[in-house]
Amino acid sequence: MILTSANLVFIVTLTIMPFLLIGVIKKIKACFQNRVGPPVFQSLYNLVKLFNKDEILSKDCSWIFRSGPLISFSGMLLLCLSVPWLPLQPPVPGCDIFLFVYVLALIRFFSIISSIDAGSPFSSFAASREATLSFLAEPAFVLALVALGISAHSSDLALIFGQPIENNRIPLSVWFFSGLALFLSGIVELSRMPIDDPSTHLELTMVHEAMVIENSGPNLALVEWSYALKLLLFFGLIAQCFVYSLSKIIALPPLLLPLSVLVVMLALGCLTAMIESFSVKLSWGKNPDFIAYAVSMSLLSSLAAFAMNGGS
Amino acid sequence: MISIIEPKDEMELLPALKQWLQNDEHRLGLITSLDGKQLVTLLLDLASRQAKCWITEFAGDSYRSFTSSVPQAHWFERALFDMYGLLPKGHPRLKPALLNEAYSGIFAPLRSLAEHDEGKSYERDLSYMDVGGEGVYEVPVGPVHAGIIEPGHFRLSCMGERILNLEIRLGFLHRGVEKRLTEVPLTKTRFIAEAVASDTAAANAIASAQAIESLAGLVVPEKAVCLRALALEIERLSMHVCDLGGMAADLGCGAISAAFSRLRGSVFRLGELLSGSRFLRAYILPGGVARDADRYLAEFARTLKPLRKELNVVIDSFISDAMVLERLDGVGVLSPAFAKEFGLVGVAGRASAVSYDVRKVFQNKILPEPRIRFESAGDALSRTKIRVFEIGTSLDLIEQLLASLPSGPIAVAAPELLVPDSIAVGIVEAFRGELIHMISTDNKGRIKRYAVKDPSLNNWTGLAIAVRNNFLADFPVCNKSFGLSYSGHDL
Amino acid sequence: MMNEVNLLTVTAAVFAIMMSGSGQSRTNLLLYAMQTFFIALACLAQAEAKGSPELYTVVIGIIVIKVLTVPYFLSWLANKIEARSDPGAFLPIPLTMHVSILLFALSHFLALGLPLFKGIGSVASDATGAISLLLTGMLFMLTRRFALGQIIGFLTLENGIFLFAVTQTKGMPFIIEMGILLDVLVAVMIGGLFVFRIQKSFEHIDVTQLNGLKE
Repeated sequence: MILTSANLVFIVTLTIMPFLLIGVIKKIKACFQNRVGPPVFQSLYNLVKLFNKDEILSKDCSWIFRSGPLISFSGMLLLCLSVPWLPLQPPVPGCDIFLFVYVLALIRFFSIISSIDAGSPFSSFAASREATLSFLAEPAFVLALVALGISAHSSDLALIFGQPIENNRIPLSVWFFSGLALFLSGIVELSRMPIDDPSTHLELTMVHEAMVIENSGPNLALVEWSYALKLLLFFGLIAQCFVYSLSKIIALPPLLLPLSVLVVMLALGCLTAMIESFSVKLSWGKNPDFIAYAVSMSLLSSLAAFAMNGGS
Repeated sequence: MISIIEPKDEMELLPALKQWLQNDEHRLGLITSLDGKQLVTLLLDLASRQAKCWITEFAGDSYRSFTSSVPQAHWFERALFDMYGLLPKGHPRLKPALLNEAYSGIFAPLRSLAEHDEGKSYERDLSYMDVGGEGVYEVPVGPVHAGIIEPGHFRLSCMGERILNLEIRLGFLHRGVEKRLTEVPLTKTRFIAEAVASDTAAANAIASAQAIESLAGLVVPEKAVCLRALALEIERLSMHVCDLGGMAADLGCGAISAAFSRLRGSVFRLGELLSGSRFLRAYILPGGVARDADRYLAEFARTLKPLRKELNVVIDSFISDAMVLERLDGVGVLSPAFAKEFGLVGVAGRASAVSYDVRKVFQNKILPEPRIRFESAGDALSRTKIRVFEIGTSLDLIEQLLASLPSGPIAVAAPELLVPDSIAVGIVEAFRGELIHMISTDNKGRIKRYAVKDPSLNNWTGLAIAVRNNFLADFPVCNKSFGLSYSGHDL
Repeated sequence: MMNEVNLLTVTAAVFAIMMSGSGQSRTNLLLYAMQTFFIALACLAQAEAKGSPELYTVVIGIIVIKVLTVPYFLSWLANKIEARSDPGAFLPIPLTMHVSILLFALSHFLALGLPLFKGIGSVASDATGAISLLLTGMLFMLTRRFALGQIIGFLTLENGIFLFAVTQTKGMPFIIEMGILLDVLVAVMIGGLFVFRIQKSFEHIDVTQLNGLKE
């Protein structure tokens, strides 16, 4: 890893952007409720506070419970450093679509078994919910990335994303539908409304929040931090999809590309906050119907990828 | 009103009760005891607007259980077992209702000290229903909850995401209210009565005042009757708005929930103008009301008009949202047949085709009659619709009461002596449903037994049945759609 | 690669696909309106390309009748008879959407194989949109339980035929275009009234119960 200016931009945004995104979402939600809302960087302050707290452990839990958050945090950090979520080459090169998907699956596996290990009924059924939801949403997510890969003739994420506009051969429709599919499956993966309400206090309806209900102190801090990194990673990829499809219509100056991706990420945060303020959490039985839309978008994207590939 | 007292033999009690309930115009008010040596069955006749008490003396500490033939008696029998240690013979599943695990087996709150010294022991079965089978698991929720609500323990037996059985254990708020009400001087009764359930303060105070006034032979001035009705409707309005806001929050509509809680503040303001207390405390007293609101009425009317407009906007955006309708439709269904059998009251009852409203039957004739609406689907959506409808009704009633407020005194002198050896009841339609206060006096005119029946007592069973076969994640929505009281139940 | 017209037709087809994935009457009607709006835009693009003033009138007709009046009337009807959501018949609704995507792919190959326009890429992908709309409309009619769904499916099907006619031919006579538009309006009104009558007499609009009439 060489400290180039691109890498520096990567690392600086990596430290600030996740907390900014969470803060912006919370602030906008508060605005819709006529509240002032927490300071934008409150989640960062919370992190510091949590790292300074003691940890309470159930007497029944084993090393798996304690290592789960550590594994998910290190996995997320690895992905954030090797996936081009800004349209720049990442500091650690050579991340493949499948490596990306499998590292995410590994993280999910460990967070699921660590929450089952805690032995609380809430975290156990939440783990089962998480497994069900990600099982349903993963095809959409993978297919959307594969469609991009087909159009780019490569499975290397660095050759799909993070390329200068003139090198980019992926057609508009593939970018757009993949972006939509990633956004819809991102809602599921990031446990946002209408699948999961991150601000509820009702344990019985939770997915992500109930999974980490037994974590406390530094352990919880790692969970929160890796969630923030996951948000950044997903929003970065989605934002790039939309920025690249926009660049097919309007000519964007290449220098503005990283900036416009950041702006689109914030806009996605606003959109998420709007959805969260005005939509209703779906009944558990209706979740597959919602995920079906994500699958449809990725199917359309791969159809477009095949059709355009055959044509050219 | 003073109730008619009829002695009834133990053997003929059950057939007589069954026959009484055959008639749609008849209701079972409550079943309790005066001192553990008899059963008092309070019956309401809706057609002739009368209350009747059957007093059944029996020997020993047990009686024949009604539960198998009259299901709505089961909660009363459990309460009797807790309070007096009376054992219903043949009760299918006797669980504690009012006392939690912390109370020892020799404690029966309404028995006298002398009886406790006899060292009788009442074995309480604290086990939960065991739901067997592969893949069935239990989720214990509470008694300490994540939100700021009262304590109650819910034991959910689930299969995957489906709820197979819900067992509710209450009694964590047992404060000995009924006992205390017999000990305090008559002038202080109202304060304890209000504290039965503080979100129902006005309704409890009115029911208590009605019962005491009947026993003292007082006639309340017309103006006081109207002011009381006004307080009752304000309370209904504020709590329905609060319940709708809670429902919106549970569904995840943060913005709408915030709007509801702001409007609830405006409704509290109405209460403050009327009574001087946002929660309508210490306003209603035996003989009348404590404060004349004449000089605030202009401001009251000024506040009411914009409130109604704003409420309509928020409620419309909530209840006409296709996603909300879809979400609530078919969740937590309670069949009309079940609702009738278990004697459900209030919002939950009216959502399951029980059209009973105390205001139609027992309220003072000078008050305007409310419009009543009932649904038959019995799901969370119908309960929400009924709440929305009742908000409209309450606003109408408040306007009508304001327009035709009689003049005159607001109170007569408080009573000092009560009629000896009689039983009186006060019945009020609280925002949750039928609320009954029953007072029985001894031969010197002192209060011997003060029994309170909160509407929640009828409805908790409804919740336990309604959540069956629903998604585990829908339990909070079902619970909120019933909106029951813990403290009113626990006493 | 893609000109405006076939971007618009493909968007319309995608809206139809999304429509087949929702069981809610209001969402269906909203997406139907969006789909028809894009068809009107495609028609507008054709009008500009061909320079025919009559097509502009058709565009206005479509927007007034099919984008605004018909969905508004049907959503009023859905409210009136409280047919908020359709549980779906034969196929679960999310699966219907996936099948309609497969139909979209099928129509792509069908369009490529059309004898008349072989080799003209853009016309072929216009045909893709049109055939896909037609097939999605048929699928929609097949898989809905409530009679309201049959009306929406029929309208989608009609959109497909109309789009095919506009993009693939040299243009139909104006009077026929307007006649069809009015026919659609009348059909929707009659269909709506029928649904209303059915609801009144049978207290449901479940078409799967029609089988029971055989006996």
